[in-house]
Amino acid sequence: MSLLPKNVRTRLTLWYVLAFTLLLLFYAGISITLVYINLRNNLDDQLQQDYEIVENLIEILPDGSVRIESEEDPYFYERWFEVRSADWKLLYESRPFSGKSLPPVSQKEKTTDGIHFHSLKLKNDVAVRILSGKMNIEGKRLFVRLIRSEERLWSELNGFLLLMLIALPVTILIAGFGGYFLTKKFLSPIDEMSAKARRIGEENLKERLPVKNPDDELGNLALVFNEMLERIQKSFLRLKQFTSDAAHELRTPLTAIRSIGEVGLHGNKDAKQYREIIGSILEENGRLTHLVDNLLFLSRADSKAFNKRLAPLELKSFVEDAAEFIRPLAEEKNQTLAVQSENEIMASADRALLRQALLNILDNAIKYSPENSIIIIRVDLSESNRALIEVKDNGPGISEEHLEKIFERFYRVDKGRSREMGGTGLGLAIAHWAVAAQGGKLTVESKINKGSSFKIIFESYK
Amino acid sequence: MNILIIEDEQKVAQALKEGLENENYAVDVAFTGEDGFFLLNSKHYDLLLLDLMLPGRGGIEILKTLRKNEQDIPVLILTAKDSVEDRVLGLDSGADDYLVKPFAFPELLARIRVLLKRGREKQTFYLQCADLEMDLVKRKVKRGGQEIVLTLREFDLLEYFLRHRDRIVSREMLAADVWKETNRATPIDNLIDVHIARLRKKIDGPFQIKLLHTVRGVGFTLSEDAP
Repeated sequence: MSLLPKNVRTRLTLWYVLAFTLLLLFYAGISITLVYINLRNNLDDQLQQDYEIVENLIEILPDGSVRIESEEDPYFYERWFEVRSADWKLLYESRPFSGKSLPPVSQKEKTTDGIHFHSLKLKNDVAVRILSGKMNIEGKRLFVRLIRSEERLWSELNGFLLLMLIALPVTILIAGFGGYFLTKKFLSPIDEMSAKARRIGEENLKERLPVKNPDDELGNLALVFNEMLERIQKSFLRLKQFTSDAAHELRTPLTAIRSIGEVGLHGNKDAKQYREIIGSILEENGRLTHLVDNLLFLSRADSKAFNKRLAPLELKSFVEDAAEFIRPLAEEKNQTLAVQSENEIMASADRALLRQALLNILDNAIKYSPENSIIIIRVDLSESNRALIEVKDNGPGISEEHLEKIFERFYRVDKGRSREMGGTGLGLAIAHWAVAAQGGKLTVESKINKGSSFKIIFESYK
Repeated sequence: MNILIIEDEQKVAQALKEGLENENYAVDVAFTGEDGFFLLNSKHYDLLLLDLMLPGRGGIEILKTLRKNEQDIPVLILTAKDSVEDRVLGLDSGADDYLVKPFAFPELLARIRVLLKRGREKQTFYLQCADLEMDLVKRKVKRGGQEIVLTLREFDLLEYFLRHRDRIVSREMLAADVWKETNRATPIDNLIDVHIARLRKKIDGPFQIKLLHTVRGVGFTLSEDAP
């Protein structure tokens, strides 16, 4: 196999040429055979005509010998034939060229009735065609043999063969070149694609492979690659966005710490003021710590280094427990946190992760819902018979443009306000991941001024 | 009480030393594992604060050697690594406790006290701060002889403050010890603040002398004297 050239174009051409050559050889073989048969049939026809002429000219003399009428006819100078009696005795022969006798009558000629053709080679290497036939003339049985040289037949056949031998390599050569250029033409999109792909890097992820004809296989391949590039570009952008967002988020408390410190060093202050300053710095430090904790949690989530333990979980008590835990926050805003659960539903979930998700969603709902509103936590079976926890609020709602990005890290609907409330912008991203990590799905539906509904859907326990 | 700190980050080591000395511990600092090991073998210590990521001899290695030599000094690990595997590795190697950086200093103090007291913890049924009294058997709280009704959570919270009387308690400590919430990514700070506000209203509200104070940026403290 190592003898085969590596590149597809040459390999394709070689296979193609090989197949083409075999096909041509087969074709040439058949044509030569056909030409040969055709020429021989012509020869046999001529012999047969001669035979009929000779038959008409044979004259039997009273002494039993044979005479040919109009012997002087030039036609006979060129004809080579012999006449024998029924017991194979030679009665007459005309030998215009060789002057040699024909080979003795073979057994086959003797036994065959009517006309019989066969070819043979004379002692002087001349190939001849022989017609042997038995005829009745004036009640006497005679055996006649007519001979014609096959020389012309063979020279014509050789001419044809020569033509083939010249034409065949030329044809193959032309076909080979043609094939090579055709494959080159058809495979050229691959070269363009690989050249392009080689140039696509971090800086120009936007670029795509050329698609010549989207309906053929290569075009389809390019399309598939382009889709892959699209996905890579998106996740790359997300990562870039995330890194810059994270840096930005870290910068805010860092700036605060720096300014507070610098201003604090300025001028003389009493101990109480210094305590305030240090306390304020520590507060910012707390924010930084919180942010880093969340980031670490998510990065661990990304690297899948999280051990989730799925176990049967009774949802009603689980949800009530979580609601009880966070209820004081709702009470501060006079909000009602109501749990609705009619049936006992068992789910298969990681309790800690699910709690993390639910608490983050509830925290978010309480934060953004107005005072005196109601937040409903509903436990039910989804339409597809999976476990469902829905958190429905009467908050301001989320507009469509924000809705699709709400689970992205650091994404905030109202940037200033969220930070004021102490959010890191990671709560819903964490919730989203925590649900996904146990094979569930977190979705959101919302309309401006109509409130929002977050749905956690995951495997029920059977 | 002698404490040895093995920590290569000088600022952190210095801050720890000062903070612990303020609490009347005698503190030595080693910046490398080798120095620390030398000190451990030349002097008696009651507690070792051990950083895991050290140049040269790593913290885990020091810990394993210590335990192999059958030195049963309590060891508290300080580290920035906080995955479950890291914790298990630290504890399996013979550490007594584990604190993830960045940690709140009050929490470090609390852990140190627990480690030093270990084995001779006294059972208490009665806690007190000024005229605030807690009866753990009857689960009743009184201030100035007047009974105060607390919810379960408020009772646990107050008990924790009374047990750490005059000391600063951080939000992280409350989250871990009162709420049993170990996951640091759970949004709990606001919740703690709400509970503190309610507790404060009940135990301090009508009284002249305030007991529950906020230490800005650090946490809270229950004390007769304002911090």
